[in-house]
Parts: sequence; structure tokens; C-alpha cells
Amino acid sequence: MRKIAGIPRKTGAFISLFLGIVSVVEAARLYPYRTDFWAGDHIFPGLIGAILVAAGLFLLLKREESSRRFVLPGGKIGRKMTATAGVLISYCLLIGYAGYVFSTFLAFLFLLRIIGNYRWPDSVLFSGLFTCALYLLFSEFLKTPLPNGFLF
Amino acid sequence: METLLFLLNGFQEVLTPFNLLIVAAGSVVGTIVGVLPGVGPTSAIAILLPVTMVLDPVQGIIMMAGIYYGAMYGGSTTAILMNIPGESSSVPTALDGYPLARKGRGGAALGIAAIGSFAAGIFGLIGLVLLAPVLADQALKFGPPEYFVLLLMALLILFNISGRSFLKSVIMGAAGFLASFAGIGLSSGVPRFSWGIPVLAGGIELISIIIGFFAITEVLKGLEERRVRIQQEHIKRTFPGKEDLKRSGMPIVRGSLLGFFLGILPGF
Repeated sequence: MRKIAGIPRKTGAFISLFLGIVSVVEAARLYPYRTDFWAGDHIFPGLIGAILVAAGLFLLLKREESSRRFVLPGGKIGRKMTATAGVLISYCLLIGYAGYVFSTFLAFLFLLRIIGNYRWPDSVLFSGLFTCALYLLFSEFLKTPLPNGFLF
Repeated sequence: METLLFLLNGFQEVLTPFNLLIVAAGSVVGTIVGVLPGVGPTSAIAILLPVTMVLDPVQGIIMMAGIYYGAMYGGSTTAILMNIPGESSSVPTALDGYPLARKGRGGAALGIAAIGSFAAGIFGLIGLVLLAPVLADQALKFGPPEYFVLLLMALLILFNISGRSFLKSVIMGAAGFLASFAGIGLSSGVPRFSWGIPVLAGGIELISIIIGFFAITEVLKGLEERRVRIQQEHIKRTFPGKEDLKRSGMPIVRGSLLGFFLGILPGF
């Protein structure tokens, strides 16, 4: 565990700045489609982008107001949290290409290993069961269309 | 008076043993479907519509009403027990209900949510029947300026209640606005914030954001706290005690009134 000061504030400020710049750039792209300077699809992204940039700058330059120290999880827990986030992001990216069944099986498998600390054989068994159960529930019973990939 | 007679006639129609059985079945099925994250009352009705086809029209409507209210309540179950709201309307339930579940009082929270939902539903029904003609006229007078003022008020309340830092509240509200921009532009018909990705061109679903923020945060917090179970004890009883009922009485009345007046506005 590492004690940190100011990092959450600065991270928030940079995220705000990034989102604001993205929004302003998008507003500039939409500007030619306007009906008027103050009317069109560009106006709100532009305004919100400017607000986010200004708020991000203020947050970045603001003095630390409290003596609270945040503790950034490190060691095994930190690695687990990073791995969990990585699995979820990979799942989002993979599901469109590999389809629901394969990507969900893999995501469950790794999440059970990482979060639940299950043994590999148990993780394979439970992830297979969960994937089949969810497939039956959503695809067969509730007729929800699930992504098909290059596998099935 | 005539409206009241129609309402009583409706109750007379519904209050037969078979119709009550149908409404109970609809509520149970609706609750089960509503527990699934992302499946709200409207989706539940759409999914279960074929089931009602085999029934008479009146019984079909009765079952659909049961499914609707069951799905509405089902969303609050995961919100209270797992801090994962099944739909956007369950978010306030998660904010108050989940801390109770962490204290081992998930059963009482589920009971209060059910009682509150029932009381507000009955109040809304009676209020709508009695005041519908007057309120409908007023609701239709709500135009863009009134909606703008209402949303501005909502944002001001958000800035006020969301913590000590005004700056962070502004960023939070603005980021929420930003998420709502994705999709086809209303004025030009040009895709906004989609960058050629078809999923983004259809807009970002509020429920996806809610589940993402609440569920993933909860999983990561659980990892940090090395938590194995949310509720440390089994839920033995769901009926709240006298003290719980006393304390939740006024919030239920406030929520019923607020929900009723906001619910009659078109688009809310």
C-alpha cells in the first residue's frame, strides 16, 4: 500500500481536460452543419467542452485543501484490481469479434481465477456453466440477440 | 364522481380470485425478469407479451400490470443487495438500501422498498384518476423553457448535494451531459461522438453507464476490502419493524408526491 497525495485530484483534472478537449474538437467538426452560431448540434458539445476544460484547469491548479491521504492499493490487491479492469476491457473489445460464447467464457474464467481464487479446473467448470446458463436465459428464453463472432 | 365510479368498477372487475392469481403470477414473473440488470419494466412487458396472448383482454392487461410493477420492484432487489441498480429508477434505492444491506439489514430494506413502491403506486393511481383532466392540461403546457428550468434546478441540486467540492460536481455533471451527446445530432442528423463506431452512433444507454459505474466499482471495492460476501447474515425476515416504518413514513409520502408530479410530465 502506498500513501499518495494529490494524485486523485490531478488524475481527475487530466480526465476532465481530456474529455473537454475531445468535446471541443467534436464541436469544431460539427460547426459547419450549424443553422446559426447559437443553434446547431455543435453548441452543447462546445459549451460543455469549455466547461470541462476550465474546471479541469482549476482543479489542476487548486491547492490541496485537506490533509486526507488516499491509499493506493498496491501489491497483490493492486495487481488483482488492474487485472480485473484489464479483463473487463478485453471482454468489451473481444465480444464483437469472438462472439458472446467464447468471450464470455474467457472473461468468466479469468474473473473467477482473479477475484474468486478458484482452482483452474473449478474455474473452467463454473465459467462453462455460467456461460451456458446466461446464453439459455438471454438468447433462448428472452430472445435477446447476442453478438456472433468468428467462432460461434 | 363518474371517474370514481369507473375506478370502483375497475376494482370490481379485478378483485376476483382468478384475476388476483393472474396479477400475482405476473408480479412474480416480472420481479424475476426485473432482477436481471438492464431489463426494465418496458423490456419485461415486451418480452412477456406473448404470454398474455392466451388470456382474455382484461386478464391480459391485468397480467401486464403485474409484470410491470413486478419488474419495477425487481430492479430494486439487486440495487439493495448488490449495489447494482437494474434500471435507472433504482439508483436512489441503491444509495440508501445498499448501506442497510451492508449492516445486515437487507431484508428490512427490501421490505421498505416494497411498501414504498406499493404506497406510491396506489397514491399515483388514485391521484391520476381524480386529477387527470386538470393535470393533463397543465402538463401539456410544459414547453422547452419549463423543461430547461426544471433540468437547471436538477443540476443545481446535484451540485449542492454531491459533496464538498463544487468543482468536482461541475465536472461530474458536465461528464454526464457529454455521455448523453453520443448518437445522431437532433438538428443536423449527423452522428456525434461516434467516430465511425456503429454502437456509439446509436447513443450510450443510461443503464449501461449505471451498471458500469456501480457494478465495477463494487467489484473493485470488494477486492480492496477482501470482501467475500456483501450481506454477512442470511435474510430471515423482509417485513420492517415498527421503528423502520415510522422512520420511512415521511420519505415515502415525499417520494410519492414528487414521483407523481414528475411522472405526469411528458418525457419524464
